[in-house]
Amino acid sequence: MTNPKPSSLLIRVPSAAWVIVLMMTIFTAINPRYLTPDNLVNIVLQNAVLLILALGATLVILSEGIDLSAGSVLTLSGVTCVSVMKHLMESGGSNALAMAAGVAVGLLTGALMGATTGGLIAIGNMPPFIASLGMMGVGSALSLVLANSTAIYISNPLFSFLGEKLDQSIDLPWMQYLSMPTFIAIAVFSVIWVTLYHTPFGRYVIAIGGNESGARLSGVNTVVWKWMVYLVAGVLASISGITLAARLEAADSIVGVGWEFDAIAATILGGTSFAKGKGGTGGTVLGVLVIGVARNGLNVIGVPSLWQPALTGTIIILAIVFETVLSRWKEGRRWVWHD
Amino acid sequence: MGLARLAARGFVPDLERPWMQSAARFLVLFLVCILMAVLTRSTEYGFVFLNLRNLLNIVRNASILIIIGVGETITLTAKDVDLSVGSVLSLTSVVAAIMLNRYGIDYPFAILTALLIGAALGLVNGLLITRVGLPPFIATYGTLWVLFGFAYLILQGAVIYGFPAGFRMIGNGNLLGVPMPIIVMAAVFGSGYFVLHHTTLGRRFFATGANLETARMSGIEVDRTIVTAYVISGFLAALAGLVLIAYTNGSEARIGDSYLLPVMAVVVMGGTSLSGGQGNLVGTLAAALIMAVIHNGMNILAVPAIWQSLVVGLLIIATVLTDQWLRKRA
Amino acid sequence: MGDWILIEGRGITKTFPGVRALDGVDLELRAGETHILLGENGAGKSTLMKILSGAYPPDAGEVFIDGQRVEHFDPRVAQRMGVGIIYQEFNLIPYMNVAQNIFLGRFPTRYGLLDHQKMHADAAALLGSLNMNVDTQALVVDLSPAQQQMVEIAKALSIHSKILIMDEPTSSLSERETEQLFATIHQLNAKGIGIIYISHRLQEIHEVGDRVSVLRDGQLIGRRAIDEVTVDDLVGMMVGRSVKDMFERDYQPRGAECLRVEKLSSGNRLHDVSLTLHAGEIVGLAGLVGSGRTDLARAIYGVDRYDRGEIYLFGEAISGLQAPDMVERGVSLLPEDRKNQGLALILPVAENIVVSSLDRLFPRMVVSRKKEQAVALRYVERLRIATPSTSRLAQYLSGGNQQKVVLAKWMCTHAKVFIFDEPTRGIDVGAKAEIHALMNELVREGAAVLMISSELPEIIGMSDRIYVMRAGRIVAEIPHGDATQERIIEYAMGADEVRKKTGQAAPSRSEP
Repeated sequence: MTNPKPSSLLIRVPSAAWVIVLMMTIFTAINPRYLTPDNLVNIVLQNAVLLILALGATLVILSEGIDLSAGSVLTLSGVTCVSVMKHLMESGGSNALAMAAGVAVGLLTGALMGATTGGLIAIGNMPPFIASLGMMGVGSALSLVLANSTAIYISNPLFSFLGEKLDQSIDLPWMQYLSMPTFIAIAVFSVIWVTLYHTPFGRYVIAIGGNESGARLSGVNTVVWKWMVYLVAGVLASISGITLAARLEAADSIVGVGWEFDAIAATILGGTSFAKGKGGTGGTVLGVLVIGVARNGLNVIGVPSLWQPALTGTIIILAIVFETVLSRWKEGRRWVWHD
Repeated sequence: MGLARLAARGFVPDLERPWMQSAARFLVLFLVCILMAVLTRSTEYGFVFLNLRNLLNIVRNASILIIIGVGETITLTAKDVDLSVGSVLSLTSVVAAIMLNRYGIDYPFAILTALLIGAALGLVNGLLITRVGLPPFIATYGTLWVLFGFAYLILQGAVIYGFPAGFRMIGNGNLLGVPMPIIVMAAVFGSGYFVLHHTTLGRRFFATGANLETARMSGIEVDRTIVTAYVISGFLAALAGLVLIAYTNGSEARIGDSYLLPVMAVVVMGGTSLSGGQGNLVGTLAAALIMAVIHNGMNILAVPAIWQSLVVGLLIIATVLTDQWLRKRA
Repeated sequence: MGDWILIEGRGITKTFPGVRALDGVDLELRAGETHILLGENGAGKSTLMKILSGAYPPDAGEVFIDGQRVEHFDPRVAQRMGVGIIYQEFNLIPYMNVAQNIFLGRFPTRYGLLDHQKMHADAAALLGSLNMNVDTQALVVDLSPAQQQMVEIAKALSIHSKILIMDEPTSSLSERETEQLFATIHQLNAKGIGIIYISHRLQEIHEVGDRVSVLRDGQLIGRRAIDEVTVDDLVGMMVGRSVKDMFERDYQPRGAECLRVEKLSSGNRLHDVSLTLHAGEIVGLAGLVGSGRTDLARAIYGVDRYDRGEIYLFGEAISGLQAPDMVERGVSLLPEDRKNQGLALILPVAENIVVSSLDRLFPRMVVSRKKEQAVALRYVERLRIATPSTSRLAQYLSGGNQQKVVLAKWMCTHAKVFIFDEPTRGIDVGAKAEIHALMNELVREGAAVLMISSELPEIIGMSDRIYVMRAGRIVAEIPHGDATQERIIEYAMGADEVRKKTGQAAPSRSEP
């Protein structure tokens, strides 16, 4: 007989959902303007980029690893993309060519960083923590060098399209509720979802996280697939970096700092745990929403901007504590096979 | 480091006494010093590097890192990393700075407050890990960001400059010709070493870190032990911050940020295992000195800062890779 | 069934630095037979198994499969040639479902995507053909150990193994689940599949084996048909001595009451358990795997919480006390899993020995290494622990010596109540006898011992009294004069169960 299916509502609904509902209730109570479609769409728009980054973190964490370099890869990719674009445009290239080249370079940056991190971890057997911490340093150093510590502005309408709300270009009703970053996020999510649940690679990720030696003994090439996870995470980080640069119409060396924390926090809030490959991408969406709702909410209800980082961080920690405690309680109701 | 380890391979494999690893690292330190001395030799000034004042400079620069490093080594021995050290340093020194500069509070009181806050933050970390059950690097990474938020809240972008002379003694003073930071560092290292290797608390750190379940079944109060380790780490981070701002005579919200990566590097390079139960304080000391020597040498040679971080990063990677490779061969 | 030889090893020799693990060993497996590989720990069973599955190459000797000599043998080649191996620690992925686990690494795909339908259909068919009732959609983490084992077997068979190597397969199974496994093995044999079954447990081999090969110190001592050999013969071959002189016990007069448990209940694992323990006696706790013995030990010791009941230690009521307090009061627990709960493997022997006595030995918090070594040395000598020095890391000691270190740790605390959980599991006979002698000494000096054991000869030979547990309850108390293996088993399984012993029921979580 297997474990009984979860019965009560408390167990079936992910903890993140409760947190979101609670926060939204409080925020709306303080400022009814919170619950307007405009604002809600804003939340989605602001956090589409984070979702893409967090999906990378989810894959890495599912494989029982960690990638602390995600934020700096995001930053670096934005910087390389915009730099190349600007350089090409200034030497007379067309907007389209510049954008294509820039995006390509940006993606390549993410791929290279991811491949290096993955190589250190999968082939060099370095603890993921140290390897990605080191790469984070390398990434920030490179960003600083390339951006010369200032912001690089770019004015390429084709490129900016990637970061806009659709009402900028399409004159139809409801277009102010849709945005390219959201579409990109949805597209990325779909691809990752399919990859995780419907491709062998996705299963290998779970296998490596769940029982790496067992997977190896079953003939799975754990080294290659582990490396691949970090490569994918790197590419996802670069996609978010490029999209963000499109939205801001600029790139600098500060912008992605600390985002890996949000990405990891979102993953954990979504129920993905650090051992055994438990969890998944759907939860991460909820996790991102928790962070997004918190940030946006604090803003809308008028909390001074000085207080925002501190309070957001505290809310996130509390939410993580809640999720951890709740999931331990849920686990406790599983039969435990003793003796 | 690789060379020395290869030589040691001839020994019986179970003699993994930390002193042998540390001896290897000091050998490397010695070699690096020689290398730097040679590289920085100039025709006008002779052996710039070997100047006593320069050497004291090196040790003094390393002392902040070593103070934090002792705390980090202890938490790694007992359990796992403490990523919040940089932010604890920032927050406590910001609080102390404001107390000293804006409110003119007497410095013993300011010092005490900072140290207590550091210890309290360590307590929070410890509780998040033992009571709530968060993985240590999530707990301390989270604390890192929250504390950064609060430091930013208190000080925003401002820089506080100017502390009373009495306080500055900790950073600027000399005892028998030796700069105060070095004295503090030596005291911290000495007590840290004593606690870790010669007290029952230290034995508990090792036991808990080596195998949590066994330690619990052996009757050790593991929660209390882990929390103590993190309290010590928080306390030492605050102490390091006080010495730092006394020396630089100023403080700002992000002052501690640049210490996390180097501390991790130094502890890992020093041979302390990330999986617990194998703390190597002497190794941490040696590694910190090696890094300080390299930085100093590169400064003398006027190497730009970016390349310095790169060199350090590569050094960490090289060390860890070598360690892994040797472990596989042994 | 026939004489076709599926796999044969001739003159297999393998040397590791410092030790000759295998010395000219011959082994053969016929189609449809279950061939037991018997031997003490360190006899070479593990190494032989790894060579036969391609994980190591032999230094000398050859491996033949289906009569053909095999060159360049490695795990992938082995798999291709039909050799499947099931290790003691399962190699399943917890948060993946059964079908995906079975086909891990060989997923059926369509246009690059997983073909879930085919996977589940194939998995269900496979499990069905083995009469295994496991839901292919279930996550492995939700399965019982017995079900996980079935999935492992199905997985090995899905690679078209005709040769299965099983390493101690019953070590985490209950009696009923073991019966299930044996039924499956018979079924596989009927299909012509040969099984090499590695075991330590004398009592099982008659039920499931056709032939048995005994290894000792890397050499093949003998190969017999099961029905031509007695338990005594086998032990003699394994050890060189007969069963009779394994246990020696001087019984003491019973002393004061040390421990009394009254109506202890905890969740659905322990129900109204009551027992007593006196100084000078060894009390055995018998029962099937899953009957709650370890749960009881952990509840008494304070590592697990319990819901109701009273515990009296030396006459004083204690409740809610946890391990640190129990240690202070002189109670100790030697856990079943000595590597992960009894020792800190990466620490030296000396530190392992003093870890529970730190405050007693060093009242002023300062630790003198000299004293630490001296104290440790005393116990190393007294218990005859084989180690070149007290600084040797615990992980390098053999199983028997590791257990002695755990015992030394508790003796160092001057404990008066010892709870042993499977004290001699996985330990060679020589060390086993030494540990029994030590237990004897302990009670002669006035301590009290509660011993959990699944080896009936050990429990019968060592105990003053035996409690039998079943499904979380104490169902019998047997004085040693009246104790027989049959009687204990009858109580452990429930007398009516013994009579109705037909097995073949669908796997169920409830204990017998």
